[in-house]
Amino acid sequence: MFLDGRTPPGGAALGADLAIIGAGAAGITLARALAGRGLKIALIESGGLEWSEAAADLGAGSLGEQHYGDLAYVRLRQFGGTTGHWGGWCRELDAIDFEPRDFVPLSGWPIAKSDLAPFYPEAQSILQLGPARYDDFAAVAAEAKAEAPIAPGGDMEAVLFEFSPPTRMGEVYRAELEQSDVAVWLNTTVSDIRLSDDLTTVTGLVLSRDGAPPLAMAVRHVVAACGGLSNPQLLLNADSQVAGGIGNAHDQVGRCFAEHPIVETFAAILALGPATGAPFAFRDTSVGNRRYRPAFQPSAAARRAKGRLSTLVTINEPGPAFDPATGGFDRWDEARLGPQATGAAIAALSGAGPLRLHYRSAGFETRPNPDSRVTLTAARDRFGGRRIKLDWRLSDADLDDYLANLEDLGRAFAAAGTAVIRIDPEARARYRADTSWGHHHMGTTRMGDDPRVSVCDGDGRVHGMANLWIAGSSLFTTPGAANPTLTIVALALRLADRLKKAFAP
Amino acid sequence: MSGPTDRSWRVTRRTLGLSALAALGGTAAGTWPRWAFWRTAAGASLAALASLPQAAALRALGARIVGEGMDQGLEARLEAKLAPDGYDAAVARDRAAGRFVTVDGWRVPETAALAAVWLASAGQSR
Repeated sequence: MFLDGRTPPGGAALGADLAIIGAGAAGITLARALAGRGLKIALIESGGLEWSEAAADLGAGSLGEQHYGDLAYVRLRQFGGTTGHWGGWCRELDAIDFEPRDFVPLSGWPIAKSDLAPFYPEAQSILQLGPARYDDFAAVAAEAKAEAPIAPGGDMEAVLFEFSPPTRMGEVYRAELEQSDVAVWLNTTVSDIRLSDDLTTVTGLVLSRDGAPPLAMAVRHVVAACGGLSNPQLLLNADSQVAGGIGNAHDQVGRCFAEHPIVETFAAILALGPATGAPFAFRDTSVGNRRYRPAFQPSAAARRAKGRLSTLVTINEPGPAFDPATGGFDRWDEARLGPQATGAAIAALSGAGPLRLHYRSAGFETRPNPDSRVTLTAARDRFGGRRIKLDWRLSDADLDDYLANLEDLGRAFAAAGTAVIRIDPEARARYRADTSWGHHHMGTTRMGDDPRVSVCDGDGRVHGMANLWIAGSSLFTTPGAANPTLTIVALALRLADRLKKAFAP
Repeated sequence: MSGPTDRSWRVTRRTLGLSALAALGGTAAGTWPRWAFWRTAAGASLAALASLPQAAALRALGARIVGEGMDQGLEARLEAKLAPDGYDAAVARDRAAGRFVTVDGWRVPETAALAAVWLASAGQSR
């Protein structure tokens, strides 16, 4: 059932057994998982079925020194959330990503991958993926009749992403939710969270909407599933009874904001593959109706041995082509590839046929940094909520790990005779100016066993609160290097499982 | 005002200058007295570089990296690489062992870089 918050049905007082705030990947997953159980579920979305400037404006904010996208547009406030423009990249986090590592301060999720593993298969299905084959590179390559680009067993390993169609959850699951017993409240913004007198239990939500006064909704349980920017915004703004906001007794809400820095032009490779210039490593491949993209990352053993963060390197579509007859490339970008004379000499040295240059894209893991954070500003949105400031901090140490991983990959390619690598000598100088991002907002209500350095426990429940839960990538204790959507959905399924127990008679 | 290429070149020179190449060749130079190369068949492998199919490409590469301090002990280092079984095998060993130097950001097997410098400056008295 869909409701428009601007014209709600009159009559009975509003109430819900479970209020889910935010109808994105996490919120829709939760609602679907808990629908049909006799629970009164309200799925509350500040946007409508379509994107609107009015809804986007609620996400507007300011930035610190590090450049980033306009906060009004770096996620979608609409039914379906940011899956509406998601690229579809899927990969599970690795087991090591959950572990405490002495070379990563504040690392160590309160859950292991084995705790999440039972939920990944259903997450695959929800995102319209096949059975997980992320670490099955050799078999997939064989099925694609392609050669592995690096030798197995080394410091760098070849792995896979699988692409979701991508699943636009607002489209794919709209009809199902419309026909379910879930009440989907559109154009409705939660502007305050009301607590019991002892401040340990959420008793109600204040719902704001355009053109009408706020509504009060009584609740038994609440899940904030608004994403890594709006989850902390919601908690910090809910300060009508608790100074500093809910769950923020230790000033942790909004800290440890993590992104995946994306650096597409810091490195290039000259592919020495077949004359097609497109061996398996350097293009997507389809096996059956599944589409995979090869990626390269340091093995777990290498990460531990070298004290190294992870990196997932993928190879972009072919760039400049080298013609041995002319001894030059058909085009060139000196600012990003250095002098063409050197590139041409390197290509000529290979002694092979037509060669292609490719840029290499990579998202890399970063260390949790409490100073990288979301805070509130004095500016207010039209419902009176304070807007956020995102102060994303990039660390030279994280870049060093990325560059070291590239060096290792270059050695692996060279040893296999697959490619020659170029790493921009100016990478460090360019880091802050030329780094892009994955629109992955993580860590701002991180899970942990210690409330002094985390916001939620291993179930996603806000420390000190009986019935306030968080879903989404703001839970990530450390970000890993893989794109987060698959894990967001798996975590939401795990939370649904936990809530089923909470609601059990 | 320097552009990216100028900065890149400075980085390259720093990388290849008296540090990387000297370090990679130091052991070889110390182990293999220079006179020994010129009195053995190994010395011939150095001269044979000019007839390699890759010679032109190596010269072009060498033009990017030859410079001050680059020729110190060059022959000795190069001979140590080439002596066992020639250029191709030496490059393959470098690749397998991950021994590279950086030229304008490119990772070049040490042997190829040394050969490039030698060929680019061939004809000069050493």
